[in-house]
Formats: sequence, structure tokens, C-alpha cells
Amino acid sequence: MAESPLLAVKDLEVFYGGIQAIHGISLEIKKGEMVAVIGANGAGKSTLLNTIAGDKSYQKGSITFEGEPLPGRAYQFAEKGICLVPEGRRIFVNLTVYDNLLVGAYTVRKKEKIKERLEEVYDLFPRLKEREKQMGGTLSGGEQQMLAVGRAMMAGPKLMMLDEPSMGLAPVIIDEMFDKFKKINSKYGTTMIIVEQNAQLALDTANRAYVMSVGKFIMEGDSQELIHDPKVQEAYLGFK
Amino acid sequence: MNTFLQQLITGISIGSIYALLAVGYALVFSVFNFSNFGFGATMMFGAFAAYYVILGLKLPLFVSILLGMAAAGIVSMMFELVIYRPMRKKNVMRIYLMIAGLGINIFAPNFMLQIVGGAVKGFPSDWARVTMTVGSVNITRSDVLALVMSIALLTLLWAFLYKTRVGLGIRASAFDTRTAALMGINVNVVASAVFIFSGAAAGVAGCFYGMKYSVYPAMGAVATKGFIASTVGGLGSLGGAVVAGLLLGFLETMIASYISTTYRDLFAYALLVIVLIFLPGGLMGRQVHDKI
Ligand SMILES: Nc1ncnc2c1ncn2[C@@H]1O[C@H](COP(=O)(O)OP(=O)(O)O)[C@@H](O)[C@H]1O
Ligand SMILES: [Mg+2]
Repeated sequence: MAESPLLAVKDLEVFYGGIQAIHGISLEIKKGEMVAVIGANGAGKSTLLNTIAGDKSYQKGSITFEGEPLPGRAYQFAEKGICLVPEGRRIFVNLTVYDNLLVGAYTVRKKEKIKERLEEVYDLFPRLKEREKQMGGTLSGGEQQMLAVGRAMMAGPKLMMLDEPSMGLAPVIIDEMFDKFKKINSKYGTTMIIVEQNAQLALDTANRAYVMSVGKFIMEGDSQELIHDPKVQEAYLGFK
Repeated sequence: MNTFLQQLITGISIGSIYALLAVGYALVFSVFNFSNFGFGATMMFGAFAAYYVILGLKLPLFVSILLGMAAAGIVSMMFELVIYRPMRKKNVMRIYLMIAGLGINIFAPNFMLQIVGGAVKGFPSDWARVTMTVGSVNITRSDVLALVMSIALLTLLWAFLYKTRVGLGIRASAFDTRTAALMGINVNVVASAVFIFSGAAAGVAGCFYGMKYSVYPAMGAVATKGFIASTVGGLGSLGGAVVAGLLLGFLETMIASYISTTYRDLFAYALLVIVLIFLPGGLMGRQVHDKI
């Protein structure tokens, strides 16, 4: 018998008022997978992640996580193990780096567990430890991205979703960052969805990918196959 | 010099009442980005609760203040639960929340007027009225108690915000309630905590205002001074609220004593307008970091 997926989305439709942003999307992600969603600006990638994370309500279709329907209220998602590293990072600029990480562990009741995770985060991003007492708002873009990822790690998520983590970062930092994602995935077995406009980067990192356009998946498959697909090359990788 | 010292002490004691009120406004504003204009009503209910606890139950002053504070906290939470929460759920514009608050502020005094009448009631504590003489300065016990309790309450609030889990949740929500929800923070719990705490502060302020002047249905009008202080301090800034509250109390008293009492209120509103023109962010509210 095949293993049941960690996340299963079926015929999802999402609206903003009267405007439809997601037009019937289905996807299945297995535990431990690293999956990319690529697509142009406005395709609906953020909407998809926000919906799975409980930040946006959906109108049609179904989403199940570990075989169960999603909880009813936004704040209950983190406890279930679904964590979003949102587009634009949304760091708590009025809190210290340390407090930002503590907020990430808001659903974790055991003190030892929080300490343990904190060490894991500092281990992965030593820069955050150096900046521990600084206000989140004073960090550089790269550091803020580290903090956003570290904050998500603090919850000990089963599914971590990253929305355009490369946005606004210098190329060296991007490479470093994506290495860390792979590390989190392999070391902690965290299932990941990475949304990117930078298709090359996403396809290089993920095992599997979905190509999204105007609220629909128009292609899906193995990352390496997609990289060599002429249509993908032309539309998303800038090949002529 | 002695009049100055005397006025300074009066100023600080009225200022600490303003500071408590201002902190209440700031706390709600920092998380929910609107000013709870139902605050005057909350304050009035707190004062009446303490008044009737002393008269009816014959409990000591201190206990009655604590009960007045608890009553105000509960009233405040009820306003949130019954009025603001359903409105927040519907995602209405903030201005409607404020209009609802104005409604509360007109409804509540009229409601009390029907029930207890409009008579001005002296706060029933002889203990609080006793004046102590330190050097050549006279201090009423209620003034000292007001200052001590304000400091205690503000310290408690600080400890709650900075040392507890829910406090962290409140500070995170002050940045953005949606991002806070992504972290597992239930905004309704945050709302209850914020309204209970700010309501309790208003209740204590009501008790001390009642002791200083008197208890009557329209007494909540003075909460406007707290609102002015919180705006002058910087909307949503707790530190700014405390500083501006004390400052306002001090300046008002000085003006009342050296110029004329009729200029007192004139001054408070002039200060508000001037600050809004030249420093729209208030004294301490320019940076988002200054939020709690
Ligand atoms: N808050 C919103 N209100 C109305 N429309 C929105 C909102 N957010 C996104 N949209 C619309 O939904 C579509 C998908 O947006 P989004 O999910 O942000 O795309 P992407 O992340 O792929 O750039 C776009 O047409 C966008 O204009
Ligand atoms: Mg997006």
C-alpha cells in the first residue's frame, strides 16, 4: 500500500472577494519531500501557500494534512505542524531576534524543547546568535530571512512552506540560504514547499516541482525533467 | 517654592491617573490600531463598583479598589467580547470600532444616570481624605496611594508583557495580528488580555479620580485626558503614554495654579492640536520599535 501523503490538496478554489485567484488546484506531497512551485508574478503562488497555512480562507475543494481536514482557525495551524515563512518575511520588527524566535515556539509548551530548538537554529544560523539582542527591524535582508526561517524551525514544523525566500537577497546569500534549506530537509526530515520566481534556483533545489500560471498548475514533474523541458526553459528559465 | 512643590505633587498625582488611562489607550491601540473610546465608561464603572463595595459591603478601601479594578477589567472585556470582537470578525474599518466606542461612552453614563441618578457622590473613604504634612507641603493620602498604585500597576503590566508567554503574544500581535496568528497566537486571547488589563487600569484611575473629586455618571469624560496623553506620547507607545500622562497632569496643574483653572482644559486640547501639527507621531511614537 502506498504511503498516504502528508498534504493533499484537491480541486482547490480561492477567491479574493469576487476575484478568483486559484482555479482548481490539486497536489499531493509526501513526508520528507522537497517540492517547488514556480510561476510568474501574480500566478497565485502566495495565495496557495497562505491558504494551506490558514492565513487565507478557501471557497471550494479540500485540503487534508496527515489525512485530516485543516483546523478552523488560523492560530491552530502552527500547532498542527504547518509553518509558513511568508513572502516579505514579516519579521516582528518591534521584538528582539531572541523574542522573534520565542514567538516561533509559541505553541511549544516544554521549556527544554524550546532550548533545544534554539540551539539548532543558532547552530544553523550563527549570525542570529550574534544578533540575539538586536531588534528584528535592524537586521539586514539576509539576516531577516534567516530569522524568518529560524522562527519557523522553532515550532518544529512537519511542513515548512517558504514563499520567495530569495527575494531581494544578494546571490551569495541566496546560495547559502538554499543550502540551509536542503540541510533542514535532510537533517530534520522537514517536508518543504518552496515557492519561487527564480525558477532555476527552485528546480535545482527541489526534487519535484509544479509550474503555476494564472491560478492553475500547467505542468508538474521531476525537477530535472522540468529543467530540460523546452517550454519551461523558454517561459521560466529565460532560454531562447 | 512651596506652592511649586505643592503643585508638583498635585500634578504628579493627577498625572498618574492620566498615565494609567493613557496606557490603557496605548495598549489597545498598539495591538488593534484603534482607540477604545469606551474607556471613559469603563473607568466610571470601576469607580462606581468601588463606591458601592465600600458603602454596601463595608469592605476596606484597598479591597474595594481591587474590586473596582476587577469590575472595570470585566466590563472592558465584555465591551470587547460583545461589541468589538464581532466587528473585528467582520473586518470593519477601524473608524467604525471607534464610533462604537463613542456610542458606549454616551450610552454608559446615561444608563448609570437612570439607575443611580446624576448626583455627585463623594468617595466614601475618610481614610483617603486625611492630609499629611511633610515639611510645609500638604499631601492627601489618596494622592500618595494613587502614585504608589500606579507605579505598582505599571510595573505589573511591564512584567506581564515582558516576562510571560501571553505578554510575548501581545507584543508580537502589536506588530501584526495575522503574522502572530501564523505563529499560533490566538488573537482573541490577546484581545481579552489587553482589554482586561487596560480596563483594570481605567478602573483604578476611576477610583482615584473619584477620591480626588467625586463619583458621578459623567466622570468618564476625564478619560479624554488619557486619550490626549496617549496621542501626545505617541499612539501605541506605552512609555510615551506614561511620560505624556505625567507631563499633562503636571502642566495642567501649573497652569491652573499660576494662570487660571479656566485655562486648564483649554491647554490640554491646545497641546494636543499643537503636537499633532508638529509631531504627528507623538513624543515617542515615531518608530515602530517604540511600540510595546
Ligand atoms: N489581498 C488580495 N486582494 C485581492 N486580490 C489579491 C490579493 N492578494 C493577491 N491577489 C490577487 O490574486 C492573484 C494571485 O496573487 P498571488 O497569490 O500574490 O500571486 P504570486 O504569489 O504568484 O505572485 C493576483 O491576481 C493578485 O492580484
Ligand atoms: Mg507571491
